[in-house]
Formats: sequence, C-alpha cells, structure tokens
Amino acid sequence: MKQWWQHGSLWVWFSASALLCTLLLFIALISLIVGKGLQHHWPADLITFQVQTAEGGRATVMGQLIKQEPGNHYTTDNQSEIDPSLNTAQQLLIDQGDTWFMPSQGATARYIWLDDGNVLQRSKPADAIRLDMHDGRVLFGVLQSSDAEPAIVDTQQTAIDLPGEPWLLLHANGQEIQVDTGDVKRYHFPNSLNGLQKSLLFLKQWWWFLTEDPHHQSTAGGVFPAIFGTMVMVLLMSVIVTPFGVLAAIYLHEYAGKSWLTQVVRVSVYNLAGIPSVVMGLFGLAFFVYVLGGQLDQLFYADQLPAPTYGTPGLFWASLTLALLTLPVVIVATEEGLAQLPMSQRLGSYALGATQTETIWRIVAPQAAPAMMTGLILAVARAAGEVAPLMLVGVVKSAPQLPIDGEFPYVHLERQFMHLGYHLYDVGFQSANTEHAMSLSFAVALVLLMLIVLLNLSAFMLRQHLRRKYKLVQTSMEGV
Amino acid sequence: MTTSGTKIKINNLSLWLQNQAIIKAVTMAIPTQQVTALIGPSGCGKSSLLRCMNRMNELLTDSRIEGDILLDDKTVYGKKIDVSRLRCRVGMVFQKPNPFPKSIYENVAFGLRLQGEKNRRVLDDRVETSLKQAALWGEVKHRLHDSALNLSSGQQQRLVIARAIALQPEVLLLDEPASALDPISTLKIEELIYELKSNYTIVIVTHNMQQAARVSDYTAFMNAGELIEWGETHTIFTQPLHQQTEDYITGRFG
Ligand SMILES: Nc1ncnc2c1ncn2[C@@H]1O[C@H](COP(=O)(O)OP(=O)(O)O)[C@@H](O)[C@H]1O
Ligand SMILES: [Mg+2]
Repeated sequence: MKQWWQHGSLWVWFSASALLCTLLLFIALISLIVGKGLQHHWPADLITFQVQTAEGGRATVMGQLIKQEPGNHYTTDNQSEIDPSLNTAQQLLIDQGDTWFMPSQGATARYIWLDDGNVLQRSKPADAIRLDMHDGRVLFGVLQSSDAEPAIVDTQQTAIDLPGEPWLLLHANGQEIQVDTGDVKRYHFPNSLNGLQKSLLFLKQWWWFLTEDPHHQSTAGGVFPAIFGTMVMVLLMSVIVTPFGVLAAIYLHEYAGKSWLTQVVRVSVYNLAGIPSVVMGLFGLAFFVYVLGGQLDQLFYADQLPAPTYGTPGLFWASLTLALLTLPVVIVATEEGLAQLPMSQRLGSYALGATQTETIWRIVAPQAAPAMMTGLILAVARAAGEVAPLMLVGVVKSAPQLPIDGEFPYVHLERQFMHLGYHLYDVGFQSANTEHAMSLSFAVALVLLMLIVLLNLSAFMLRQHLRRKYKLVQTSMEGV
Repeated sequence: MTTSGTKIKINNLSLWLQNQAIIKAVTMAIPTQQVTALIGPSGCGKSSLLRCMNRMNELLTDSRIEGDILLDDKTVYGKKIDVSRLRCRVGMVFQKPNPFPKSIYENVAFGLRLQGEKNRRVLDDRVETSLKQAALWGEVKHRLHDSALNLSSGQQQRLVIARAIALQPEVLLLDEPASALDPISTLKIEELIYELKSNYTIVIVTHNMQQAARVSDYTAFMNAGELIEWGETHTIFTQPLHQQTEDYITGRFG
C-alpha cells in the first residue's frame, strides 16, 4: 500500500476509474435515450391476451406490450396490501390505445397491468388495426365491417378517399365503436407487416414526427414547430452573440491595454458565465421585454397599443437573453485565440505600414477565426439545451404560428415560439398519461440531442474549414 | 567605394525598454545605397537599435528614447510623423520568416493593398517585379495562389523580403535574415543582398563575421548597448581601433 502510494499508481487507478465511471454513465445515458427514443415509433405488434378473471371467467385484452417486469403491481383492488404469492409472477403493461372519449372509461384506462400467471393464451390476429385519427386519438382494434386495404395507408399523403360508410371497430378494450372514416388520418395492420414493411413504416413515422404539428395537447402528432423554433432561436442567438463577443474580446485583448480596469472587466465578464440561467431569464423579462420592448412598442407600434407587439415575450428577446448568457463563452474563447497568435505575425504587418486597426482586421482576426468558432460551438451547445430562462422570455407550450412564414414581413421576431427542451418538459410532466408521456419524452429528447449534434457538427465543420484556410503559424516570439 | 551621402543619421541615441538602458548614446551614420552591418555579442542591443530606425520598439513594450534619428535629414521621432508612412519607407525583415497565412501573391501584395491599390494590373506587375528582385519568381511563378506556408523556410525568407520590397522602400532593415536558414539558402540571401544594394540602403544585423565581411560595405561594432566603433568594413576587419573589436572579430570574445 505504501509502495503504491509512493509510486503514485494509486492515483493512476483512481483517475482511471473516475474516467471509466464517467464513460459508463455517458454510454448509459446515450443508449437509454437512443433506445427508448427510437422505440417510440417502432410499429409494435398488437397482441390479444386471453385472461382468466378473478371470478374464474375469461376475458380478452388487446394492445401493445409496453414492458414486462416482476412483482409488486397492483392488479388487485387492495393496493396497500401486496400478496407475496403474486410477487414472483411477471407483470405485463399493456397499451390499449386511447379510451378517454368513451363514456364509461377514464383517461388512465389506456394502460393496464396484467398478471402473466392469468394469461391463458396470446395471439397476434392479422386483422388487428391501428388507426391514427385526425384529432390525435390512436385506436387499436379489429374492424368488424369495412373495406380497408391491408396495407399502410396514409390518407393525407395518398389522398385516398375512404368510403363514407362508418367503420365498426371492436376496440382493444372490448367495446364496439363507430369510426367515421373522415376522421381517420392513417391506419395500418401491424401484425401483417413483415420486417421490411415495419422498418419502412418506422422511418415514415419518424418523418411524420419530425415534420408535423403537434396536436391533442402535444400528446400526438409531431414536433416540427419545436424543432423549427429551437433552430431559429439558436441561429438568431449565434448571429447576435458572435459579433458582440468577438468585438468585445478584440477590444479587451487588442485595444484596452493592460490596466487594472481591464483586468476587472475581464474577470467580471468571465464570471457572467456563472450567473444561473434562470436569473438571466428574469433579467431578460424585466429589461429586454418590459423596458426595451415597451419602448419599441411606444415608438413604432403605438397604433396597436395597448396590445403589445414587442413588449411581450417573444423569439427575439429569447435569443437576446441566450446571447447574453453565452457571451462570456465566446469572449473567453476568442481571447484565447488572439493570445495564441504569434507576435511575429503582428510585427510583420506593422512593418509593412499597417496601422493597429488594419493589423487586427487583416491579420489577427482572420487567424483567430477558428477560436471564435470554438466559442460559438460552446455557445450553441449551451444555448440549445437551455430551457429555464426561455420559459420567461418567449417559449410557449404551443404556438399557433411559426416565427418564419409566408406572411409579410416573413420573419416575425416578436412571436412566441415552441422549443424542444420545453416541449420535452411539457409532454413528459404535464400530461396525465405517464407511460405514453415517458416514451414520447424520450423521442423528443432524442430529437433534441440530434439537433444539438447537428448544430455543433456544422459549426465544427466550419471551424475545420477556417483552420485549413488560416493554418496557424507556429512561430515563437524569439527572434522578433 | 564611394559614399554618395548619408541616408540615416543616428544622433546621440539612447533607448530604455521598461526603464532599462538598452542603447547608450549611439551616434553613427548609415550611408545611402550601401550595406551596413551591425555586429556584436548577443544581447548587446543590435536588434533594438535596428528597431529604433522604423520605430518598432514602441510596439513591443514601453520604451523611451533620447537623442534622434534622421531619415534624409528629417527626424523620425517627431510628433507629426506618420509612422505607417515611415515603415513603408523603411522596410524590415525579421530573423525567422513570418509569412502571413495567405497566398504567395497576397503576401507580396499585402502592403500595396493597405495603401488602397486595387488595380489588378498594377498589383500583378509589382508582385512580379518584387518576386524577381527577391530571386524567387522562377520558383513560385506557377503557384502564386498557393499558400505561402507551403514554401521552404529559405523561400519564405525571400518571400518576406519580396513583401518588403513591394512597397519600394528606401531602406531595408534585415535582422539576422539568414540565421535560421541552411547554408544554401543563406548563400542565396547573401547574393540577394548584393543585388539589392544598388537600389536600397541596407542595414543588416548578423553575428556571422564572414557574412559581415562578405556582404557589407560598412560595419558597426556594438557591445553592451554602446557603439564601440564603426567604419568601412575593410578597415574594421583589418585595423580595428579598439582591442575588444579585434577580440570579437577574431573570435576571442563573445
Ligand atoms: N521587449 C523587451 N523588453 C525589455 N527588454 C528587452 C526587450 N527586448 C530586448 N530587451 C533587452 O534589450 C537588450 C538588447 O536586446 P537585443 O536588441 O535583442 O539584442 P541583440 O539583438 O543584440 O541580441 C537585451 O538585454 C534584452 O534583454
Ligand atoms: Mg537580435
């Protein structure tokens, strides 16, 4: 032990295991989100369970098998007392599809637990159908009367006019209901699909998820407005934060000299990064929205008062708040880049008659561009994941319009917008239906992660391009 | 060798960097269109004296001077002096080649572009003549738009000289221009200096005695911030007035 200590190998082990733990946690996180997120859109089979009821009779339950786990579930009426004999049996969680619209069913009846010991028989009827309704309902069941084609049908895309006769559906929970064919958006028969068809449908469902509007309080439909809102906000934030941060860093590093005042300013800027983001959001609301926005309204939109135009949370203020939040990151990174540039480059420029300003803009700034991009990459990574401040300055659960559309003046910076981070919070914790919400949350989380990766990747590529262009000259100061 | 006049006059010049006396009361003259070599042990202030002539010291640290430097009989330290203009007239090349991460063409055109020259033909012309004068044209004429960083360091140093020449300066200050180069590149630079002196007044810092003897017409020997003696290279090398000059030249000191 003592020898270990002396050789320092203990420290090697310590640090190695710390790294290993970090890696494992990271891998666990990624695989959880990717696995669960992808699962959400996998066209699962519809299974029919023959169950023995408590009274000794038989019942039929149909639905998607969500998960299967041992013990302790409250299948009996007495929820406080758990029968130990039950604990060994597997418990199955079944999704029966939406039931809330049926008079005799509660909203929670969509998911039910089954005791595996009571299941007598499982089967996958080929004619089991999944219906996606225009109003967001998802129905499972077997059609009793219809001429539905046994295929994946997307009535929006294929524009097939479904026959007007209402279908009679035996719903998964055993009730018969009438389905107006005009309400059906899409349907398919999951059990009759082969692997390839399933994969195709999986991709299609993802595509729909990415490109469609959410409906039914975000529990159904897609997340397109949230993706769009996040993208536009992050891009707008980049457009604001880059020039400000770069100019501030250039001033600090090139012009300001080395007085104690500069040092104080520098330290304060660096510490700006430590301000909790929600405090920033509050500042954004109090200052940007009410003060600046209020002034703007009085100056330019006086005719619309008292209805506020800019004096209310919106996209522009959200971007501005995030820009303020990420400003220190850009400043620090840019200053580091400026400091790395060898003195000989500056002197070479001065020796040719360049002024300080010419030297900065023609020699120094271009070569510090990759460092500025590094700052931007970090800023984007931070901004895309922020939610707390946004709730105060412009993000909403559901926005009726996109911030960019075909209506003059096309870009509406004053509009409220949707955001993936907030959407995740909204679908995950605001809906009554926890199982469905969790699964949906993971899908949204996956989209958010992918979006951040995409944004970072593009900034990264841009930086590589700049690096190639301005290959940093590695000469030292000696011999100047 | 004839002296056609004095280009730069250094009058009782003293320099302090960060309140340290670096150059002490130096008085000497740089003859027009001749090569003047500054020699002396390292740290004696050769580079600092050179930087006084195009006012580069003030960029590096806080500096203070006393005395004066006259370029064509006019002070370079006056309040109304346009330092950029001065540096265009007095070009400088550093010990280590410092090309900009731009194309060969843009490196040479950099100074002209600063002066607002936009005419493509003028730029093309000047780039070509400068590269020719710097004996680099033949090697790079087919790849003018390649990055300058892909050149060898010998080529880079000639490029940097071409970059300085492109401004058609009157004086060229060379601070150990060949000390980071291999012997063949060094030879090329020496030949180049020989070619250039018909058009430019050249001041070169070197600590290679043979080089000083080969390329220069005049030599100044400095030690510890003081100018010990200066005069025609031939005289300095054969009949130095001071013992320490002789010691340094013969390699017994330094
Ligand atoms: N930027 C600077 N700040 C302070 N002192 C400096 C600076 N540059 C050079 N010096 C000092 O000035 C003296 C002369 O340096 P230098 O002119 O580079 O000598 P040489 O070129 O003859 O080797 C040295 O003692 C060096 O330490
Ligand atoms: Mg030197």
